[in-house]
Amino acid sequence: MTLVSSRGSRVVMCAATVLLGALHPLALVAQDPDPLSRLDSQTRFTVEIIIDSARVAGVPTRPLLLKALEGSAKHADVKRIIAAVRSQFHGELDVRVALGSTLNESEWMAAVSALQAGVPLEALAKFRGERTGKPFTRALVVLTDLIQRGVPVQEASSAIMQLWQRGAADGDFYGLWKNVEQDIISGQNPGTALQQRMREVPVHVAPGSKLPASQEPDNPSS
Amino acid sequence: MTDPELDPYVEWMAREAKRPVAVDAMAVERVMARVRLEARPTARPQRWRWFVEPRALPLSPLVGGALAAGLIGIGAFLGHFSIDRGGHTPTGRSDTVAAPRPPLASVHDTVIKFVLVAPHASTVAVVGDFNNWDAQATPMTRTPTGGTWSVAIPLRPGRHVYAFVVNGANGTTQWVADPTAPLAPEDGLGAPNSVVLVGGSAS
Repeated sequence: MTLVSSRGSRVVMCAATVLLGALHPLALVAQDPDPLSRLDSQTRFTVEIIIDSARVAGVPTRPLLLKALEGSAKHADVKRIIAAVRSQFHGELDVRVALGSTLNESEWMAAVSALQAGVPLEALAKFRGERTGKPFTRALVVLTDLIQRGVPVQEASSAIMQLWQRGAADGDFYGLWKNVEQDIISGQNPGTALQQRMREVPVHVAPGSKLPASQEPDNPSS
Repeated sequence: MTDPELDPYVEWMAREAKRPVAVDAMAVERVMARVRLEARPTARPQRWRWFVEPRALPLSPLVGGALAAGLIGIGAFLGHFSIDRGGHTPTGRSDTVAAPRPPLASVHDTVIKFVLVAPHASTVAVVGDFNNWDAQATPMTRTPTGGTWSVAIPLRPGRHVYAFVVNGANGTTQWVADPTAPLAPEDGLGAPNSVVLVGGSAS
């Protein structure tokens, strides 16, 4: 169909077509500014390679990008930023081995943090076996924090897994964390504080579920 | 020639035209057979002729310009919706690194209030994955009564990592973890972070 009849109109239509073609990608760019522009070219190049590798591996890429942006915001040097992004990537790969790839992003990142805090891969993998369909993000966040505050890794991992097996709710984990934190601030030994506060956490057992051997009902400490 | 002179010729031509033509008996049959051999014209070209037939539409430069602006608007509109809120294309994979967008408020968001006591600070901001670690994105405001700084922002359900950037009156800048929240592990970037879980079971 010929839409134009005069030379002026034809010129306008040609210009419109060219503009439309040119502005469509520009509109995309305007809404999606280059997130890595904050990085220098060397850092950027390496981070992009890591992100591409993560994409190919099928693990989340967003946390890697955020880690690079965090490093840039904190004015960390190139080596540190790349090391942090690489550590995050390797953590994600390890989490996939331990817990599978059906996690949501929060679970995934909480698990990476737990690994970075020093939780062994085998201890983390137990959450997969005990998985009840309930997200374990809060359990892992509390576990990571306890380790950060000085509770030995083995004790913290064992205590949190015990609570998880008991069917502890989010509120139980939060309450435990709050109390232990207060005790540590008051000067108590972190490991001791955890052991004492563990006794106060109520037992929630779903009908038909099996308690771990150390938590059988005839155990007075439960 | 004049009309009276033309009349005999006209009458002759009319007579000749009206004279029946003698045809043989099979002529009609032959013509009809030939017609049947021809492909029947389809109705479609007739139906679509209006759309495909070239025509001229007079357009002034002003109308042409308005039409062009409309087309550009449609292009920008489609461009806006061809990428999702997470900065990814709808295919789930982008060939370039896309910015994780700071979350826009939605019905699933929960407003979280961040509070920090920093009486000697000149400015304080909360920085985290929810604002792409942009120290200028979320400044906190000082309460009228004292040195407490706060800001309330909507966050999506899930786990968020953040810290406070405290600018002192003497020009120093310090990254500070939230003393009332769980700690994130040391990541080698030089300043500790905190974790906030939003939503039931922090899904």
